Amino acid sequence: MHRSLLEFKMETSTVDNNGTRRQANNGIAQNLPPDILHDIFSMFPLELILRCKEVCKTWYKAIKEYPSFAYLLLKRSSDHPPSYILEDIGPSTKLFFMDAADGKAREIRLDPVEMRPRSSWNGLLLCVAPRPNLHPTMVCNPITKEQIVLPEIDVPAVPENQVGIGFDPSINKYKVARMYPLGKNEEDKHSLCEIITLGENSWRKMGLPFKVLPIKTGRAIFWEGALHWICSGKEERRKIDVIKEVCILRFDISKEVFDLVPTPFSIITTTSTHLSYKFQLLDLAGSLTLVDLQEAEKFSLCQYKRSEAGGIHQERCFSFDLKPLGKRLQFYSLFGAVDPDKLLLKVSIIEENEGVLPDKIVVYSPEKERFSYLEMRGTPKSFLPTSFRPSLVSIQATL
Amino acid sequence: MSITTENNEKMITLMSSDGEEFVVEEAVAAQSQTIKHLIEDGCSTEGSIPLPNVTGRVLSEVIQYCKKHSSSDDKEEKELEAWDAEFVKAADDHVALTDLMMAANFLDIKGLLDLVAQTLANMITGKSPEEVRRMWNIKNDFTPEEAEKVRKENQWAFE
Repeated sequence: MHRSLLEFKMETSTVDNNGTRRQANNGIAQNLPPDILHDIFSMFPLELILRCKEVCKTWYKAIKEYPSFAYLLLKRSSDHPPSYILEDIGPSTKLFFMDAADGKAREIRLDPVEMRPRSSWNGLLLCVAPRPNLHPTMVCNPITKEQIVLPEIDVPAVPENQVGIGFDPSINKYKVARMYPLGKNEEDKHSLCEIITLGENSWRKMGLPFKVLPIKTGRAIFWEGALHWICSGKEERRKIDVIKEVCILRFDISKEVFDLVPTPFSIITTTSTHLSYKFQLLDLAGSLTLVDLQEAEKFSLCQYKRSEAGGIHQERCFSFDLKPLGKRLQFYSLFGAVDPDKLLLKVSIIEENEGVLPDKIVVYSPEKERFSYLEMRGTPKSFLPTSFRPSLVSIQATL
Repeated sequence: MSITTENNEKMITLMSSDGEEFVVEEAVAAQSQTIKHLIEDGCSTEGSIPLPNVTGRVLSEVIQYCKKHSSSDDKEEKELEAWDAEFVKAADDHVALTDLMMAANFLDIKGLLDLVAQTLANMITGKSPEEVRRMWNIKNDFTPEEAEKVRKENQWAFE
């Protein structure tokens, strides 16, 4: 038995065992087994790995034809500084890729060009066409240029939709959830959700068990096996104001069930209130975090953790002061963290005489009350970030 | 064959593909997950452990690495880093590094594997495909059409 273990080990490593030192001119690197090449390549930045595909067929195949290599890279790069796709919300509709460690944002071109990013996971970007069409909805990998268009919503004139992408480990496939509202009168308003499993021909349609719909232009956050959106819940009238509870709509990607998670936050609505400017949901250094941006000089945060029963529950709530950042007319939003106590903030500044200035990115340590501007060339004047980790993951291939 | 030294350290005999025998402390040999599993399965009691994929020259380098890394603890991290840098420098060219890499892979020594891979990565960063081919003595086996296809599919998505 022990002998066979040794033999097995020998077989899995395809090395010539004549025991002599090979000469430099016999193309040794061309004959390296894929697992060794993967170990070497996984130390490289993604751009260099792509370049290596051009060297020879062995290298090309090792990079392109082993889905597990894409996941090895993701694992190895898990401590890499965060990166984002920035959507230009100015007159142009360009998209930019920004790596917090890079110092420079680079334009990224999708086909068709006007696609808007809404959600991403493992380097796959889920985009929708702008209103009023909302078609196509598309999943693409901007690095490998692989893309697929999802089936069109079969209900005409849907005013809006909300989408999210995640990975179902129980079947090793990526899934997209797409929700849209139906019904004209207040009484029969309801929402439908389509669950599309990538690489399969059929999809599932189900009614939302709650009378809610996530906020417009909100990003879906895939965290701990479920998609999460901010949405407004119960309403309460107080004199002339309407106070709405803020909830998190959660969709378990494997079980395909919805769940509505309460939050400590609420909002006084007026007709012009746009929830997405007041709240943010993000994966902040590994914690699902809801941020209340309603107060000018502080952020209130609520972080969640997985409960044993399978849902999520509130772990802690805290707030931090934005006063150290200065007194000008500035609007802040939180979009990530370089590490848990170094937050990435987007700062939109309005100067009295100059109008709206370009958005800036600030690295802020609330505990130390220290901040610095992140030098980042090539960012659009005003932008919305979507968290995005570039990868070689193939849309169709499974582990 | 298991021998015990004066300070009760169990010794293991490793045999390279070209028949060289190395007697090392078990703790040193166990840096290799492959050898560790063989020891745990009782393979080492009946004689030397044959390593048919590793030559004596490469094995002696690997043992040097394992000795250093089994005797150092975390406090000496800086010193160990400097030692690692010298160690890969001594392996001087990509052929020697590739030999080391294959041995580290076969013997399953994670630290050495990462060290050599990182060194090779540094060597080819910034080089064109042609320069990489020359450095590694790789034959360009793409037809011109295939090369063009790969280049196209490869165009970095970000401008």
